Amino acid sequence: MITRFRLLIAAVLASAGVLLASAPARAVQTTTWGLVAAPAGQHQRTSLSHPADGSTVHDAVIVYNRTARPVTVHLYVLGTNYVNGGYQFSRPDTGLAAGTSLGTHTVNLGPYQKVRVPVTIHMPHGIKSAALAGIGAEASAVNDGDLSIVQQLVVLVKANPSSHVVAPLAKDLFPWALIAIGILVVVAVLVERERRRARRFKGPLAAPVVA
Amino acid sequence: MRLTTKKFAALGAGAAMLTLLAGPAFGSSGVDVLYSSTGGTRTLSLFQPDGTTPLTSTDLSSGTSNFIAKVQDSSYTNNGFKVQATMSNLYGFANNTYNCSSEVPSSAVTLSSPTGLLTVGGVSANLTPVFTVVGTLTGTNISDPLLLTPVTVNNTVDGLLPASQNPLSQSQLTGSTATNLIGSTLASLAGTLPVNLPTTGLGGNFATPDVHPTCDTTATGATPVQIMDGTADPTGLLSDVQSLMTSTLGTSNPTLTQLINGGYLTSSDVSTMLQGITALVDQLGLTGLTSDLTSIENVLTASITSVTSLTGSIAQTGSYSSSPDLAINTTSIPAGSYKGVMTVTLIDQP
Repeated sequence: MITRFRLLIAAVLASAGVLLASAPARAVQTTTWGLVAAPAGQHQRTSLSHPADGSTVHDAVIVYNRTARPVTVHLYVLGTNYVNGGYQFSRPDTGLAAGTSLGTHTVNLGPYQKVRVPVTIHMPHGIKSAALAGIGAEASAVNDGDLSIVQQLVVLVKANPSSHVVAPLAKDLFPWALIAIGILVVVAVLVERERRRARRFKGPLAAPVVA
Repeated sequence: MRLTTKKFAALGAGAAMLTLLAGPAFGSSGVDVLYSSTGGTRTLSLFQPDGTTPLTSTDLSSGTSNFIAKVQDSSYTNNGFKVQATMSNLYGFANNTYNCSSEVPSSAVTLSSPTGLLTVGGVSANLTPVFTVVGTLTGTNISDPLLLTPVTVNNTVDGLLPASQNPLSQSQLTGSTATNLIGSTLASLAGTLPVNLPTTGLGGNFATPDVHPTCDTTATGATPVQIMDGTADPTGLLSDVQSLMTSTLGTSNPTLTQLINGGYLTSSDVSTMLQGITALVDQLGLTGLTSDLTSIENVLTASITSVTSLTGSIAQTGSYSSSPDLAINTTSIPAGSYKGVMTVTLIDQP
């Protein structure tokens, strides 16, 4: 029985390993760290773009350290408007930004570490033009001069009036469905083995003993 | 406690169900992930004017300063980008302490991005040319009496680039042998690049301040000032590839045979495309189509009509640099030491 539990646990852990695998993605980065929209299945993305259908979308960004030294990256949601050829950012008080939240606002990255940060987006409904928000990220500034320079990376969040974009949640279920199927297969194999063992065990005892 | 087979099966099924239901929630809870950035990166680097020392601050004591902003694409998707800056107010700073009541407004600072110093270098592009194949096949011109009714072909097929043109180098794209494209040279060749750098709308005054971590944490709606505006331009690549193919094959309207011999198409892809033409397959059958393939390839011609039929089919490499200047208007600013924060942002244009 202990062996069976070990097998079950091994199967679960092996399945969980799938979580650690991720397709290559298009990333924007500084020389020390980077930020990218998490891939949706095999689809690499440079923004979090979803249909404005009133749903709640569970998405994610990936923050990663490009160096052998620890890096702390601060993340935040930005109100975003495209004005005069540039993106104007503001506090996330209204619009799509108000409905967007992050799983964490500070990520301490070890050497070459990558961390997935959940993003929850309450999509608007019935909009006629695309709505924007931003997920901003920056590492700590080095205050050694009159004018400190901060490098900021932004991944845009878009709510599209059309429904052409596939919601990622269904795609997110796919690897978990595979894991669940894998567990069921392992369990089925173990159950079958147990039945055969039970038959072998019952066989000689059930047979009448003829002197 | 002994687990029976049924209990064990129920336990396993429960675990599987739990995985399916709770898995997505677990997967989005901030776990480490393996992530390879080999699928393409776009890197923002800021340098001191020497072009090599990383920029973490700059000194406006003389009234001006400058720096270099560089975006490096490595097999990146054909997206545009924006590099822009915002500025906080500058606040009095003495003895390692801010005096938040003594400020220089951000509007006193102006950024200019000299268009003559915009530089592009090391550009290359991988892409998939899409050919439109045209022509009319008759029993006579393919020497097959089974083709009783002429068939007009007007179909597209994804091609490829010959090894010597894949990726397309900067000189192949632009026709210029210059290592770095700068100033008027860049302006004249911008339309041939996968991403060009328009020169309008750059620079300006930081009219509305951004947050300052100590003295003004609630500022909002900071004025974004553009440093670089990279605009993806796949149409430029289309004309590049068309010109290159024409000069390579000596004609802008080559036969499929010429394209196959030149490395732009494979006979296999042509065959697949032809198998989708019902009128042809109905008369020749798949076997006849295969035996007539060489003749058909001699009759049909093709031209490159697109390079973007496949999402993400264009991958570009190259660096884009700007050398912005900062200037501060010191009129009516009391003497003293002030500190502020400038934020330089890279935004991908999906």
